[in-house]
Amino acid sequence: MTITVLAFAAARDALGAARVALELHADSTAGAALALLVERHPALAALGPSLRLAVNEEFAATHTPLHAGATLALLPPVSGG
Amino acid sequence: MSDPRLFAALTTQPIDVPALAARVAGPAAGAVLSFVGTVRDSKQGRRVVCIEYEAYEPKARRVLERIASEMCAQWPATGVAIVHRLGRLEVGEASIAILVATPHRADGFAALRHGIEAVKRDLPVWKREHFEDGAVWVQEGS
Repeated sequence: MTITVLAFAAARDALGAARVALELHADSTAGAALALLVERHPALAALGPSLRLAVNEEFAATHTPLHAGATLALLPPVSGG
Repeated sequence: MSDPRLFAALTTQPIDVPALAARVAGPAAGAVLSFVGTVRDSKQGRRVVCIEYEAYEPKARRVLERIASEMCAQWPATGVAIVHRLGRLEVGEASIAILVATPHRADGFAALRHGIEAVKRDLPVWKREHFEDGAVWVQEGS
């Protein structure tokens, strides 16, 4: 199945793109998708546990299941205001 | 947003604070308070040239609406407006404005404090500070 990955701020710099399509096995989790991305883009590892994940615009845990067509967002610590 | 007391938005244009004050004001208000965050000219002794803000826009809009709703639900606010600017901002420009109208001032101060602290904690917005010799994504609230 294919999902869309969105990356913001430092995560976008590490990924080298704001948006990528990612091919995953069915029944993959958000954490499995992140692990695959870190493997392919080692610069993401430096952000490590500070990254928050969102699936379809809702904050998500690493065990959150992904479905075909899902949007996974990589969110560094926020700095708005 | 269906509640007419609430206004929440992201914008790439300069924030018009007086227009927002007029929007939240009303006959039941005894106080209109505003918090305006602005771009500072230095960070730990380094000169800041400008700041760039980006957002996870659909989620950020919903978080702003949620925060505005909380301010109205937890205090007797008669009007709330929250606007966050995105894009490139020069020193002195407003990055965020939060306004609240309440019958009495104490509730307004408390609601405003809640609003800005919730923005700092939860709003999916990131700032990149540009210095004379480079730029960095800010990694913690400041």
